[in-house]
Amino acid sequence: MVFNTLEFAIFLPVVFVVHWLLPHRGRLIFLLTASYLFYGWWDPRFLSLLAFSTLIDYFVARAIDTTPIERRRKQFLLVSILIQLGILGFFKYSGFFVESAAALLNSIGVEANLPLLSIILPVGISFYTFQTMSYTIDVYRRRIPACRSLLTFALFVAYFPQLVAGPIERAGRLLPQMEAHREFPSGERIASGLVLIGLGLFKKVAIADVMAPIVDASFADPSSQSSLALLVGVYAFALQIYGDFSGYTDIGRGASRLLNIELMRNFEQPYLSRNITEFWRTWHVSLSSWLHDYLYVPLGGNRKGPRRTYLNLMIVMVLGGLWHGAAWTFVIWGALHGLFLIVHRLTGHYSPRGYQGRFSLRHDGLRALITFNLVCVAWVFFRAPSVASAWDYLTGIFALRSGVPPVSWVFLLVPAAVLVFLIDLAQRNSDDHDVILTWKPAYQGLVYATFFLGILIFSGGPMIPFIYFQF
Amino acid sequence: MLAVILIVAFELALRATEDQLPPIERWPTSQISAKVDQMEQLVSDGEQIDVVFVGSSVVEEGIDPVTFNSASNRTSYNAALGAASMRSLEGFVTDVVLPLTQPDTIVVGVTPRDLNDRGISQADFFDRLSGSHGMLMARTPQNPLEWVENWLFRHIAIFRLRPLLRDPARLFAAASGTDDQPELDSPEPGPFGSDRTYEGEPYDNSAAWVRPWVARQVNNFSMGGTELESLRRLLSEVTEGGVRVVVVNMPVSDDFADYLPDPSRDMATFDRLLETTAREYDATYVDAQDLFSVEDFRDPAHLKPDAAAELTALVHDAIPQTTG
Repeated sequence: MVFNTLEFAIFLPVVFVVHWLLPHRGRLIFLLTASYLFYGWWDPRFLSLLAFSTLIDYFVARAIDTTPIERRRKQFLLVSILIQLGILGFFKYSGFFVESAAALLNSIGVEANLPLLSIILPVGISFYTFQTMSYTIDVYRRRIPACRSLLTFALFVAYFPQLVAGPIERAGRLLPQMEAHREFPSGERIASGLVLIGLGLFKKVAIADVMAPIVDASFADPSSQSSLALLVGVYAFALQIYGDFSGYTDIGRGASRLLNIELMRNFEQPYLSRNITEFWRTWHVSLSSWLHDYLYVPLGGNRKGPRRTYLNLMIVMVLGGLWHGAAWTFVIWGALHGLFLIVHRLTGHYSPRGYQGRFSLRHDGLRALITFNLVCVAWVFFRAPSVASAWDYLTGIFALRSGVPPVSWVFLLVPAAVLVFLIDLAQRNSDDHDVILTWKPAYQGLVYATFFLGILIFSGGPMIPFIYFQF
Repeated sequence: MLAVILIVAFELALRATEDQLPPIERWPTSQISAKVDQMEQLVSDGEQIDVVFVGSSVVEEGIDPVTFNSASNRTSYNAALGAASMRSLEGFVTDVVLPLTQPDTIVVGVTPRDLNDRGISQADFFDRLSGSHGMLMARTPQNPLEWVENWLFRHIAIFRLRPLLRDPARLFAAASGTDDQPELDSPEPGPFGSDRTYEGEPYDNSAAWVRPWVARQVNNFSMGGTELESLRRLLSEVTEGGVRVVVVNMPVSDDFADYLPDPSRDMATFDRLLETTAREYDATYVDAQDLFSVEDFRDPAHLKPDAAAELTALVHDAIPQTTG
């Protein structure tokens, strides 16, 4: 089931009402059933995979928790990680590795007709696999106890507001909320949930989906576009992927708030970042913090000298790229960000604090603009269908080919960019994602009318799937 | 409260200026627009259309009405739509084609791709066609959602004028008196262009070459759900209206079959589903699946003109069996 559909518009109110009519245990059973229905709506065959993943980590974590022998605990952890990564590898990466191996063998003159695997990628597999892995590792590190209730743990893995595209929650945050006897949310909390849902829908329908045709057209044949059109295309993609992914997160967080479960913030106005380090502390926060805690730090982080730090950064970013998809374009995207992060450290401007709070257009505008454009260079590899196409795209921008983009592109891009900037600026400078609720009624009315009209006018076109569903 | 006032004010302003706004396109692609115009023209010229062919681009290019007409004294029309699947065709045929042309026979050409419930291209096309002004004006609501949509379309200007409001450049041009009708999309080049190329690359059936098409058409391949139900409803409605039906299992190449997750099993399932469904509605079933070799195709799915003429003759010969 997808958030911006009629099915979900019926599903969510029904879940809300029934959930709050039930006692605590009944709520958990009902939420788990609803979550499996939500996931199975797409393809019920993969519910068994979700259940399998859940059972493996539930029992392995229990075994880790109750085993005093350190070697055995490590062995259990390895079993869990190998199984989870094995599932992910089979469904997501087997085709990529087979194709890459065949290409490599062909390039050295060995004719290899390796079988091409046609495997359906279960939606959300990268998200829930990482979520359950973090749980098992945290239990192994003795940061949290193993969850005693299979029901609660199954809900932690399958919780519908964040199952398909995150945030990748930590068990230490989410499990206690699920185990607790939750009170019916206050009027303010319900209002804030609804505002987040409205904001998320607006970002998806009136920003991301509006940018999609511009992006598709500019990336379809970069060699035939003017440099300016290519530039507009990549800026449109920057808005599309942000509106799409942060919109999804907003809807998920808002829906979860109606059930009185708070999900983490996954975006902190990343395009207002003044450097690339800040960007990575504000973009897809749940993934970047996951990579930091479970990959960067175990690799040694910055504790083993500058050279090792740079190597670790590069490894983390390349694997982070590969997490997004089994393609060389994602590897290069990750490597570019790794390079940017290393250069940022080399310039001596790196601050471990990273995220710097309030944004001032006058003081921070230029640095934010440079950072945004670096991010856009990397987005070209993220979006392009192949490395060659991405290269064509980038060289096309710098070739200064004459011509202007269609006027309709500019008419759609500029208001979308202004709206995103204003929303982000308001949220950043108040450090409050629900800042709208604190505004005067007149301003609130204007914003709600804009949301409603934007969603009404731009909905009803072709269904454009959330971009992160493919990961 | 202020939000409601602003929305109502916007609605009233649109109503007041609706007559001065540029017209809205009825159909999402130039092909549909041209075909509906042609059918309307034929009807207004008093032409009788006896046989209508429907399906996707495989039918559009695989059955030739000129060949058909020259072989008989009957008039035919090819109303197939590039990128369509059964879901899109159901409404288009029953609400647009049949009321306009009133044929005595309808030929439905089907490929496995047309019955894939998870095709991205198929879903895109369905969304675009079903949300178009032409369909909203033509269709009879089948469920509460469609009823609501039709009601909104007739009574709410913001809803009715959405295609225009989504195009601020055109609104701006209209306000400055320079508006031209925008060009409609061509149907999705389907799938491999007219010269065995796709996006400029010659067809070679390599994975890298085929992947973009496969990803949109037969990825996550699954039959037996909504697309098949649409075919059933289409056949049911057509036969209930007294129109004879011929179901053609359209030929596709072995290359095409290889794109399916389990080629031999999926093709066998498709054959079985289609034949059973055709028999269920007393339709004449023509199995043209294995009659052509890979050389007869200009790409994995579309016949070359000579092979299309052969298929048309086959379909032509099948039709008299249904005429009483």
